[in-house]
Amino acid sequence: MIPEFSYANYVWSSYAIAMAVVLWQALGPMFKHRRLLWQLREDQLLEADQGNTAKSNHTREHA
Amino acid sequence: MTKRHPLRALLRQDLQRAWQHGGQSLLPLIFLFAVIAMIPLGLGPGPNLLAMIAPGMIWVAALLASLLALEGVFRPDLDDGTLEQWWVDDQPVLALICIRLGSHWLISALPIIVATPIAGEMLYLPAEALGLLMLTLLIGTPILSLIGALAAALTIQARQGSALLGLLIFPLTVPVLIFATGAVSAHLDGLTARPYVLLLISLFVLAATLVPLAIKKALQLNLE
Amino acid sequence: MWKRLKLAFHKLGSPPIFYRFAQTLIPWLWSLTGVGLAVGLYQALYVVPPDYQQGDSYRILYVHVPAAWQAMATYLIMAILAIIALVWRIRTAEIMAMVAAPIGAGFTLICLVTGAIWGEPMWGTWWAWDARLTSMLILLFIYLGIMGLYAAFDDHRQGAKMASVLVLVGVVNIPIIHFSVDWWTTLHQGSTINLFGPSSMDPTMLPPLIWMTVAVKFMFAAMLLQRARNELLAQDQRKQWTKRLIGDLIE
Repeated sequence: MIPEFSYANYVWSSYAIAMAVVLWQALGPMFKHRRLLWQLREDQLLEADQGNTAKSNHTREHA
Repeated sequence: MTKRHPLRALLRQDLQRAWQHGGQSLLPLIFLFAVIAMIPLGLGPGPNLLAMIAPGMIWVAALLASLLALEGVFRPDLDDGTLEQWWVDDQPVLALICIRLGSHWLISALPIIVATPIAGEMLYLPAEALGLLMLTLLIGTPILSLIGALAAALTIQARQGSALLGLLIFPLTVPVLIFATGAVSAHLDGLTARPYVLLLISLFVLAATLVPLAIKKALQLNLE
Repeated sequence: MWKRLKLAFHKLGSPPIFYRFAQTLIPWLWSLTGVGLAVGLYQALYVVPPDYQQGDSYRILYVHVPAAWQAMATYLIMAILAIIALVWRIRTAEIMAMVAAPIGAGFTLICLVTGAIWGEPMWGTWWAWDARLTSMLILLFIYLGIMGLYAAFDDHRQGAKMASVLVLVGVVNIPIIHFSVDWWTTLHQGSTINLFGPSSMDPTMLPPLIWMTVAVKFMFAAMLLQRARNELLAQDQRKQWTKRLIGDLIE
């Protein structure tokens, strides 16, 4: 299945290193995107929560 | 003459500042000789080896020395608002930039060119190459000032600007270094140095026409 | 036609529209990349016969050459984006120009490393001051300089503008650097075997190179949009459109 090459080490290590750099360049931003979305979601939920408590405090003061 | 011309005023102010901080303007020279002294200590005092690397080493010293004075090219003027005045008062900004570049060159490069015969002697530079080396320095160091000032204008407001300066400048100065040292080694090999010198001159013309415009743009962006 | 193109251009200047555009395009671009890579790699590793001089080591070329081309093409694209950013002040162009730099640096790195690996059996040394490798090394430094300058500003837009000026200075300078380094190497050494095989590249060796090159183009586009999308999201955290986007996501 895996072809037998002369200079096999050189060929395979080139392909492997190129693949590693590409994967790093492709997957890094992908994970960062997920992390960003997640973090923004958390922020927004927290903010909404605070907004609610602030509102309820406000009404309580009025009462 | 009651009203001082802004260009002449700037030139006078720059030179006065350099004169007053006498020690600082000697810095490039001290730097040159420090580098020159380190080379035989690091590589051994063999005359053949030293003679071979002398042009390159003097050039590298000039390149490093031009870095030293860059911090002061635009930063003080940005901090005290002078830079903003250039635009507010509608002054001839390009000409002012050129004056500033000229004074940077006078402070950082001219002393090195003047000291080159001594440095060359210390590194056993063959006498017949000295004139050519000084000629390449004369044409090439203004290009270093131009590129350096551009990098300084881009990094005035950057964090760790001075650390960035080197990274920005070195790749851009590669052609200058290659043609200048190539001229000297071609001459030493008994070949003509003409094409190198001509290439160096065309580099200078190109840089002198384009870089001031880029500096102006960069300074303008800094003020926004 | 021209009007519609202009309209599309303007629309892409708006962050939410750009974000959605990137979102839909990225999976397609990656799929095309995958197809191209699959065919290209299959041909490069199984179909083409070994070279009678270089043996199988020339197969490194199928990674090295597309990476080198993309490293240079990336700079050109970055320069066009930088012009758009400086002249029309379109923020998405600014962001794309800036995120192109690390991608270009990545391809330059691949080119350098595979060049060194190829050099060891062919030249007998990992590093030779060969014109192309040296130019690529300098290109890497230029990319790093642009990334460093952009990162050194707290104000992203300010940083992007400064770095865009540097990008344009590089456009003028890179051909000169290339020329000078070429000149320099022909002086200091005789001719060496060239990685690009100028003389006798058999036509049967060409198809995998084309497939790989095209695949790398799509890969670049996908990476560019991915990074630009992230940068937009990170910079616009407090803006209305991100809030709405996240709001939709929560539901």
